[in-house]
Amino acid sequence: MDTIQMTLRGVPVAVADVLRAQARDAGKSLNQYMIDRLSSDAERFARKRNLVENHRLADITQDEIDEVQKLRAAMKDDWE
Amino acid sequence: MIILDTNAVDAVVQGRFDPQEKYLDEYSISVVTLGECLRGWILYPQNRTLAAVASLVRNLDESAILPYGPEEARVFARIAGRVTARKRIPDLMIAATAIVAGLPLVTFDTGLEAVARDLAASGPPDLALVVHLLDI
Repeated sequence: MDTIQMTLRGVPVAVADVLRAQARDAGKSLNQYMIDRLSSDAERFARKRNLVENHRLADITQDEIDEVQKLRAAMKDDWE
Repeated sequence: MIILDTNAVDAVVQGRFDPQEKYLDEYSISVVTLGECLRGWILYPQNRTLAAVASLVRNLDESAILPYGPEEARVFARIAGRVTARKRIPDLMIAATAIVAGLPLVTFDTGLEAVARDLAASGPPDLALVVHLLDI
């Protein structure tokens, strides 16, 4: 896996203290802990992107769009 | 982070809107939208958009589904009394969820934009609703 070096500036001391404590609790170096957290965020973002891509319909027609809008409106009217 | 209204989720699967391309951010939905999306598929299982929407929301992480609890109910009651634009109950429940979460609500519904204007004109700051209106 290719890696790069990233530097963070301006991290509030209180935030850094919390992150150091969390890293210690997890039994990791601060560097590894931050990589794991950032990787987890990136994976969640990618999962959501894949979810959208896997559910996107091809060749949707304007008639289908109009029909769904009518069905949604009818469903909302049920609430009244 | 943004909240997708039900009509925006429809647009996502229809390829009319890509939340992560537009906002480069994560998206979430209200439990009300979750219910609307699943109900649509139950009522009209032959409709391919509604089937795809139901599948998408069923596969969302729980963390992407915002709850509707006591705080949202209190905000719902307050905004329902202030809004002059005619809105349906589920729309106001979704608006209350967005207000409590402090997140912009992304929708095609011009009525929700009217609700946001009503609240901006007459509501206290803690009832501020941010609506990102999508083009039809």
